[in-house]
Amino acid sequence: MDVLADIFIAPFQYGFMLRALVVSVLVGVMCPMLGAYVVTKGLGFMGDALAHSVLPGMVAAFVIGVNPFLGAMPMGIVVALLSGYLIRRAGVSADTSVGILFAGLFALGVVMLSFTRGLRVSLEDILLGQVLGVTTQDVVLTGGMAAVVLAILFLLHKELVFASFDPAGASVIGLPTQALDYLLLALLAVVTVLAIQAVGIVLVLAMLITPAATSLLLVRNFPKAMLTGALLGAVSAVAGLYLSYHYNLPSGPAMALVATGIFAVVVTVKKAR
Amino acid sequence: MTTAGDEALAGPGAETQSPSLVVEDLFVDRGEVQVLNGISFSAQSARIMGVIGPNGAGKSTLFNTLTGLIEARAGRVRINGKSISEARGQVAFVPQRQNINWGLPMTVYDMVMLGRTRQIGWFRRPGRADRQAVEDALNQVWMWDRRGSLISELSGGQQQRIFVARALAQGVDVLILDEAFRGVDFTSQEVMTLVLEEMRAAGKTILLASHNISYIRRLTDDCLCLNRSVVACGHTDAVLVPDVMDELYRSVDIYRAYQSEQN
Repeated sequence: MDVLADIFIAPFQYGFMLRALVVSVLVGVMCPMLGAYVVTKGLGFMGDALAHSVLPGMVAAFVIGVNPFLGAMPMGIVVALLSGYLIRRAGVSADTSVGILFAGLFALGVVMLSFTRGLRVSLEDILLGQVLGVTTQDVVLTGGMAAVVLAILFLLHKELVFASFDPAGASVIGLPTQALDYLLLALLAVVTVLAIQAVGIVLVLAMLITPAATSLLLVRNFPKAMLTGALLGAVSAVAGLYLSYHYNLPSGPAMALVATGIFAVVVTVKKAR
Repeated sequence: MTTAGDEALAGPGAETQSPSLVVEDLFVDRGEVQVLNGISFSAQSARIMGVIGPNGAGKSTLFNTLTGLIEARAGRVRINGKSISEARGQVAFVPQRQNINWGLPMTVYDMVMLGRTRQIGWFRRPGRADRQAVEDALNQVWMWDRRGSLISELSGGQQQRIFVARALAQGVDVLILDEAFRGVDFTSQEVMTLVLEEMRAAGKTILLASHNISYIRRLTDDCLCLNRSVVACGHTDAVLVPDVMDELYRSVDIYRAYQSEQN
């Protein structure tokens, strides 16, 4: 029993581990719920690009001394809506225009960061996540935003599913499909920014699409796939956190590896049958 | 326009009821191309109107306009006295090619329930009336037994029946089908034909585009012959005559098929 306690309970005698646990679970639950839409709509590139593009907002927030997510959140929403507009515009290749915009913004963020040597900010933490460093303010912010995101996903479930499954049919029946598309992009921006805390900019996709893709292999029903994905996401996040604590691994990559490992197992088992 | 259409419009029955769908002088562009050049016609309730014309005649453009998917440049449309935007959601549409996100797992039952989205209302869940409407619609297209299957697992004809069932569950007065029967299996075609006849008996207004002239002749009451503008419109028997068909298709293959069918 002592061994189990050492493995599972001891880490949380530290406040930073407890805060990390709360944020990891929230991110692990939220990402795949939205990720189910991201995977089925093929928005993976968008999520990845969004994560990169909010860097200038984060750095600006560092400079003026507020929580970086207060800079990243509005920036992510603006960029998401802007790229939604670019995608809708005929004649502009979505991948290309979105890619140009996001690469440019990420470069701008890195250059801005190079001017802030006085600050205690590490590019590595931003890129790969440093969930062990989250503050109580981060926990409250993440909890609040998670509540909003999950409430919207629950209340607008049938409308979002309809608009994602059959956009023209949803439009004919009178749903504001354009507004629903923009809402989904705004939610994607919020969730992506929150996930940066756990897994960093580079590994956001590991939380956003990997557990959702795994659950879509396992479950043939979209709402159940969302919930299964949330479970897998939370398990990946918590397991990654334990691995990080006990083996002194970077927490973001550990979570990403667990999520990827679960996916690999599920694919292998499904193929074997 | 030929005189055949005008004569047919004045035929018996056309004036006994107020039309549920009125299109006046409708102009619709697709990009730089003028697709519909001032078309006018009307459709009655409790009747099935066929819409025929060569490829590129503007049938799909007309349907996309009536369902609010694209906007007209000019003209007036009244659907049960309402404009297109006011009537949004009150027209059911079974398009030619379903632009569906097949990656999203969707059961037959849930798919038909989507048709109830408007009746259920924002933020709410389906009630007893909605579940009953879905069950009735699925029974009507003989697919209740498959309610747990994924849409992506069905044959093309079965999928088309589910789209018809969704339109039924929507409970609207106007139903538009664009080549809905092309390439479907025999059972599906027969089932959907029965459904259309039942809907006509229930007083619905039905518009049906098809390249299959013999099917149009068998099923429809009226026929709109469209080729960028209205070539003719009226009772099917009055409209499907060699003069009109000649002008509509000129030397197109379908017309040859029509001719061989005559012989």
